[in-house]
Amino acid sequence: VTRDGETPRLDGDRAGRFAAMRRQMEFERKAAPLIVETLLVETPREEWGALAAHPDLVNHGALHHLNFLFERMLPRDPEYAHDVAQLAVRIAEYIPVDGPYPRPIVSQMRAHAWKDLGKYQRFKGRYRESEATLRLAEAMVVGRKALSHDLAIIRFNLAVTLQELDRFGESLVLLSECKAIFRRHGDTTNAMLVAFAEGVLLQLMTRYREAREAYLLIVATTPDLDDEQLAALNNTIGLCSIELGEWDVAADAFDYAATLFSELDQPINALIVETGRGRLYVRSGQFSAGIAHLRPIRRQFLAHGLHEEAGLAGLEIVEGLLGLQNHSAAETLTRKLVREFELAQLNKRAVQALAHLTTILEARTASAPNVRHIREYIDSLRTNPERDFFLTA
Amino acid sequence: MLPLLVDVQNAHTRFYEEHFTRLASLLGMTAIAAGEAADLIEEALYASLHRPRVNTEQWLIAAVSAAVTDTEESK
Repeated sequence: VTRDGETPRLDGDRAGRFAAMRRQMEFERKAAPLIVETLLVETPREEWGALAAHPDLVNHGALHHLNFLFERMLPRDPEYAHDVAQLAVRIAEYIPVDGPYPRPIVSQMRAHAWKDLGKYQRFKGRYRESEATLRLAEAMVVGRKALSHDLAIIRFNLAVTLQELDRFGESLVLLSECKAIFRRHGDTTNAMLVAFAEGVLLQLMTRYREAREAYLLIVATTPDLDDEQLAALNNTIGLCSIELGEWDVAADAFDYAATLFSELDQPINALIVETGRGRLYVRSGQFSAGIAHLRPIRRQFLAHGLHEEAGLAGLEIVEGLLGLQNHSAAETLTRKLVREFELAQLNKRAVQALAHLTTILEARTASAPNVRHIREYIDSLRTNPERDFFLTA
Repeated sequence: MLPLLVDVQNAHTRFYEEHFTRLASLLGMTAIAAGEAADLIEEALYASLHRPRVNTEQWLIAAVSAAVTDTEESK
């Protein structure tokens, strides 16, 4: 079957070496949780660096468990996760290239350890560092022919970091490549996550029709979606449909999302969906209905102490008031939002953007697109708190 | 070696042999030599060990196909 007309030949010695390695790695993975967690508990955090050469940790199993700990701890205690990632990088670099593990596995161990560090840097908003670290991880697997799946995992992370750096075009190309690789490998979970990231990015790029197609494709091709994922997808489908002026499609999607979130007993997410429905009223010209719908939602957000969500719902109301030509009420409400944001000590950039809106409302030069732009900017601060504000709309 | 360990070792050897044979037969016409194809199959088999929760069969086919395509294109 090959160039020389022969079938690749099975070699008994190679099969034996592979079997021994597979057995060793399985053993390491089973033993690692107890060994790793005991050593981490018994060693002061500032001395973890010295553990990199510990004979019980310099192996695949320990790195596998450190990766598990990193994923679990990143949203709960990012600094702990950082120290775990840093230790993993040190261990991975300590494993010799021509030591007990075959080279592809050494490349994988190193690349995934660096990838986790890059994820931590992104989580902390250190995007340029994150890009540099992920590029390093990428270089460790890019030349290794059978590691395309590992490369896709690293590039997926890189794509998300590039998105935070507003390099949308580069990010989109990477996401598309990764999605194809995950699908070929039967990795439906990562394929779904990439498709979702693609949809979010297309939305950011205001390519709403393509974004909605991406979300609809996920719904149609992912059989094991849970109700929460389905509800979140329908909410985004509704938001895209508003931008496309397809009011009925948006209303149906919000109905479905709201029902699912209510059944899941997730009242805050259900309120977020209702904010979208309020936007649907305002954008379709039903200004009074929109304002009436949004006011109680805003009050409920405030009652839950969710000042940011309340502020975003408030801006939907401001847009409705502008639709009714009620500039003075819009100005009054915006001043109130500034005070609420200040009292809640929310991001200063959000306060400045709202203050700017007050100024242009006072001058009677504010338009609905201005309000939308500021709302989108404040929303974006949640993932990128250092983003600068430019009034472009 | 203890009998149980011999069984485990044999199971791992069978895993290698079965997947190697199936992948070799699935490769179809390639522009690379048999020895090189064998190396790529083995590299994919080792790579799969790092990700124990993957769908092994499809994962290996995809990894080997990508590796072979990559090798052919680089020639």
